[in-house]
Amino acid sequence: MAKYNFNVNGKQVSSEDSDMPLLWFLRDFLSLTGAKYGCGIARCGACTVHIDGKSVRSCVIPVKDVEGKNVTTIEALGSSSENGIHPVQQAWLDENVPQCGYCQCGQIMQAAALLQVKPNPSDAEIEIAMSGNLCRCGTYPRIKKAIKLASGMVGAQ
Amino acid sequence: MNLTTRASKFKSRRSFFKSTIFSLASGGILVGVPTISGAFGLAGCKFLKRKSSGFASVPSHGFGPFIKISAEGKVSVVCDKSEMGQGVTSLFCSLVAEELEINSQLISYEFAPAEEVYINRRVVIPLYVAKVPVHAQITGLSSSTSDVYEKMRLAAAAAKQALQIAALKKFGLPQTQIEQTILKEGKVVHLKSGQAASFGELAQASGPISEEFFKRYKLGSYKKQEGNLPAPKANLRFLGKVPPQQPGKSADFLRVDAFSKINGSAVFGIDVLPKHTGHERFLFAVVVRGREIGSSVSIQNNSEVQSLPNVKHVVSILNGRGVAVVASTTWHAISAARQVKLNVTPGKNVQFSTEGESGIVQKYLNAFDNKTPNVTKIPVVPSIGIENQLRETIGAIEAKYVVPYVPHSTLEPMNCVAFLDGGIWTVWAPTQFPEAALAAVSRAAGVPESRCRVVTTLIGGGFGRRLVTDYIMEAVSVSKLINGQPVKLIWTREDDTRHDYFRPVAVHKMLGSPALGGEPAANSRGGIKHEIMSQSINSFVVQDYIACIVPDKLKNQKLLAAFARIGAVALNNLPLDPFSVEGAYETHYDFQRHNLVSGELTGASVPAFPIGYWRSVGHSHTAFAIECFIDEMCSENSVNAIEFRKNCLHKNSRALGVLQRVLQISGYNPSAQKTSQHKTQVKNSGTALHRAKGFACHSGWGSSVAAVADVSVDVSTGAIVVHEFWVVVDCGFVVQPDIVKQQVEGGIIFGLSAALKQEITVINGVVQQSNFHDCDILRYHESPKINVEINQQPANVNPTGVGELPVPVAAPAVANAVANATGMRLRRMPFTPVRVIQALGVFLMFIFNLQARSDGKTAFDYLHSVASHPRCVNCHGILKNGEHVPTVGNGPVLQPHPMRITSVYPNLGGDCITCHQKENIPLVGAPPGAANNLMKDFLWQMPPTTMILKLNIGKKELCEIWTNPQKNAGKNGDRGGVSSPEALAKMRKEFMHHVSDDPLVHWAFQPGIGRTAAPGSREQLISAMDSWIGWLEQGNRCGQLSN
Repeated sequence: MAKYNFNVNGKQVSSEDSDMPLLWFLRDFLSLTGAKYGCGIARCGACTVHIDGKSVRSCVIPVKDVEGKNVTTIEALGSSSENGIHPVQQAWLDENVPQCGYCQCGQIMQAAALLQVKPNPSDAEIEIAMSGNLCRCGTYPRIKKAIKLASGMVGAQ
Repeated sequence: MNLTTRASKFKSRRSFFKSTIFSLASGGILVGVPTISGAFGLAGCKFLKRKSSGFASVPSHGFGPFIKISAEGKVSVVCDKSEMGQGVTSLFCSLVAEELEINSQLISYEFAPAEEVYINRRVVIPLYVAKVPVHAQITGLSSSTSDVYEKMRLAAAAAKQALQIAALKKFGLPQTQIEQTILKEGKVVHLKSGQAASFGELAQASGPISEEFFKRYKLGSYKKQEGNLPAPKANLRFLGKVPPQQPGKSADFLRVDAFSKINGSAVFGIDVLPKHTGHERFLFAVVVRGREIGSSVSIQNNSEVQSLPNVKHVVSILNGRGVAVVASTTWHAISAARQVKLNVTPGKNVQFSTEGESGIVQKYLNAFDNKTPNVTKIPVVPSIGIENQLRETIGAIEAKYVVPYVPHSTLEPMNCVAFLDGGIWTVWAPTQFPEAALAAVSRAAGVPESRCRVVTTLIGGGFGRRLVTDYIMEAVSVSKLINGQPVKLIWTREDDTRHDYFRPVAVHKMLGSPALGGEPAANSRGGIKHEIMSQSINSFVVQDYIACIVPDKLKNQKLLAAFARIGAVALNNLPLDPFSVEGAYETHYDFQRHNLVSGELTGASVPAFPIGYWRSVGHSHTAFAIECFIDEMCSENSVNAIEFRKNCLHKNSRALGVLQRVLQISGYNPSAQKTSQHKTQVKNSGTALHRAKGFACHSGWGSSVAAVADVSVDVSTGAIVVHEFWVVVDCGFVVQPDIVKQQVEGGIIFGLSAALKQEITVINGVVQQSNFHDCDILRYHESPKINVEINQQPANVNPTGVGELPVPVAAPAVANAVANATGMRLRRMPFTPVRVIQALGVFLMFIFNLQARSDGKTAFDYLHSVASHPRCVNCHGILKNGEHVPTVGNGPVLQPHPMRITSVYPNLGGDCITCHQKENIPLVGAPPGAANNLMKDFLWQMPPTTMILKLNIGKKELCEIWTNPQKNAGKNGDRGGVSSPEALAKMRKEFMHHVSDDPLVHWAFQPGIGRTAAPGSREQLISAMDSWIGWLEQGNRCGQLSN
């Protein structure tokens, strides 16, 4: 059976379940439960992780397509920051964004990927980037404020 | 209220809680709150000390059922409400921290087990004739703050006194010196001597609390269900305040659960791992249920499914409710469940539909004309002769309003971990109703409650869905069939959408006039006859437990009683469910005449389709009907609808207060323009886009809300854009203003999802929607700016409900704004573009020809059928607000891409690959894959706007576009044309390249499940393109084509 090797949060891992979505590998095998199951069809964004720095819905990408790549999950997002908290995470705290919190790890991963390439995104760019992440509690107005607050603080470190 | 009766139900196990003072052997003390008998209930330690109980991890000394202090001085608060985003953990912590003078660093929370002392004493349902307290350990009905506010302040004040007394003992000082001690930064300090002792050391040494304390704080006040409360502390630090931002660190007490929710460490039910429960591994279960709701199933291909990879067990649960596939990973359970083939024995719902002549909506509408059999109508608010009086009133109007079934769509699907350990059946469950959950475990496991345990986890969205315990019974049933092994049961999103307990369909008929028997006067309060056809949620939920899950009803009195207390319907044989009429029965308006009739199907006609409690329950439709109708009848009579409301709110100063304040901040200036004139103006305006503000207000849960929406409508597409909302709430004393603002913002967005997008339709018992692709909720780019203000009351005014409060006003505020913008009335939710167009009186018909044709001149007919197919039209896109956006769907109406995607998709840290993977995913609603690896690093892309297609594009029109170099140009220039042989040669090369090599064109013929393929085949397309260009090369031109 083919073995797929890739890197998750700085650690080499491998899996033989070629068609298993990355999400379930992260949750059931690595106990990384920050990425959530919400829809299984890339419609809600709760499972968003970074693959080679880009946001990807981990519920639809099979393990075989992650071969050789670097995966970052919410658990390691802040690992390169001094206090262990990524500026986007800090902005989320400052604007008091989360309610139930279930979607927020995905929202944060999506916003962090945005700010990495667009440190000062326009309102329209934020809309485009965030339109794939659902929040049932309706925290969108605060997500907007938090992204604005974090603008200019990512990539500058 | 009769606590005595209730207490007796708990018998010996719970008599434990009745002692007035209970000293722990270890010398710690317990602090409780007074119960009705004058004692103070003390509880919890035996549960809290049990290994892996809840999230209790700090070894601590008990300060009663609510407060524990560890040897290190960490304060842990036992939260008896479920945290589902409403910030209740922060409420518990801030109330205690306020009394104990500590900051958020020193305090944490854990969830209470199912115990009597944790029941909610503030859940009050406005019944037909009286207010009946529910008394259940329940998180719902927007009652948490009301229930907790006083009891936690008292519990904390008792803990404070215990610490002070223990400190004085340690300092060798008399108890009379208690006023000379203060609490500061986790220590008790004696002011004169400067002696100090930490909470940690004092918790070890403290003794029982004197009853003097409770006498001083007027324990009797806890008996009061209404009225003002004593404020035990003068200078509040946290309560009623928005914590200030501190440079470099987060503000204190914004939310105590926030940090865990931004770094992935928060444990929702679905995140419970073996390490949390003390196991080595879990098995994972997915249940396959009949598509027809309520059918009974068995498996056809048991051995086939058993042999799939990593499948451990296949079991039938709960009398044919479903077949559970148990595997060693979640993915293998989900995958194997998809392979299950069922034998289905249909239930009653096989004849149930929402649509058509025999559908439930039409049945309800017919009931108003007495054309539906088996209907009972109850005059909830009688008003003899009102109908005749209204019928004789000039200007009286009649209107009907319809709301559909809607799902809860909690982002965390239903799930539960269940196992048998040490003779105790345990579930770890995201539940709003631990008490019912305990009964459900007991029932499913077949053991007494004393051998069952419920651990409440964080909840990824509740909204009333998790008041029902179906998923908990399923998990226990699965575990029981495999010898109590630990099982994590997960519902897929498809399961969660189809097998929800939906907000029921409700149809309202309103007849009314802003003035009775004459011209409206300045202070007219009008008359309204209001008839509602809907279904009793309480009856359904109780019946569901009896009929579907619990065969032996006699043994399940406890569970039934728990649900019956919510409405007392089943036990008292009251025919009326308050949830069907709430918001209309106790309306804040004092109309001059008011008549309310509640109608329901009865007997064999009662639908068996599942319904349940959905955030704001009955208010979600009664406020829609009332608030729309007031605007409607006022504008028909050229009456200012705001002034009319003010007249009717003359007895309700708080409702009037929020109304006036929201007018100020929004600048809403209602006109009294007559609708018919308005419509004509819009029709003659010659513009598609119309924008206006609209108003709605409502009272419920003891609170009041008023809102204004700023909305625009594109009458050419039917698209509604909600730009901005202004909302003012009055919910008594607000303990945590920023969290209340969160609730209001979120409540408006929740209401907008139902107003604009959500609808469940049913055909022959089968739910037609399954996931967010066909039952979406509001997205980021559709969300308005929301301005929230709180009309704050003093700290001695009891807090009232807010979690559900904003939801009911969202839809009527939008509908009223649409009416103000266009003169058009939206009376049926959701206000989808199709409904808006229908309301405008214009019917869009898309006809597209899917017939494939053969070669020659008719080759173009075939090319046309492909080019006008949704698979091509979608990617060629539409212009929306000046942006070129792709569409989705199979027609006849195509929707803009659900995310905000445009042809100039910039690199924003993700791209199409964020969602669209290399291959089609074999699930309905999943994003299409990028053409099967036909092109490396392929990205979805769009042609220029000149090449936009339409489902109903004409043949000549299409031909003209294709042969015109100005219109067929791509990013590399034009694609030739018919002006010269060179141009024709270029056209041949470019067009043949597009149909032969473009991976997107390949994909159109293999678009994956849920999408209709383009007609014919790729080979046919290449051949037809070749034939058509050959036809052009022979000198033929577009004009020769039939249209």
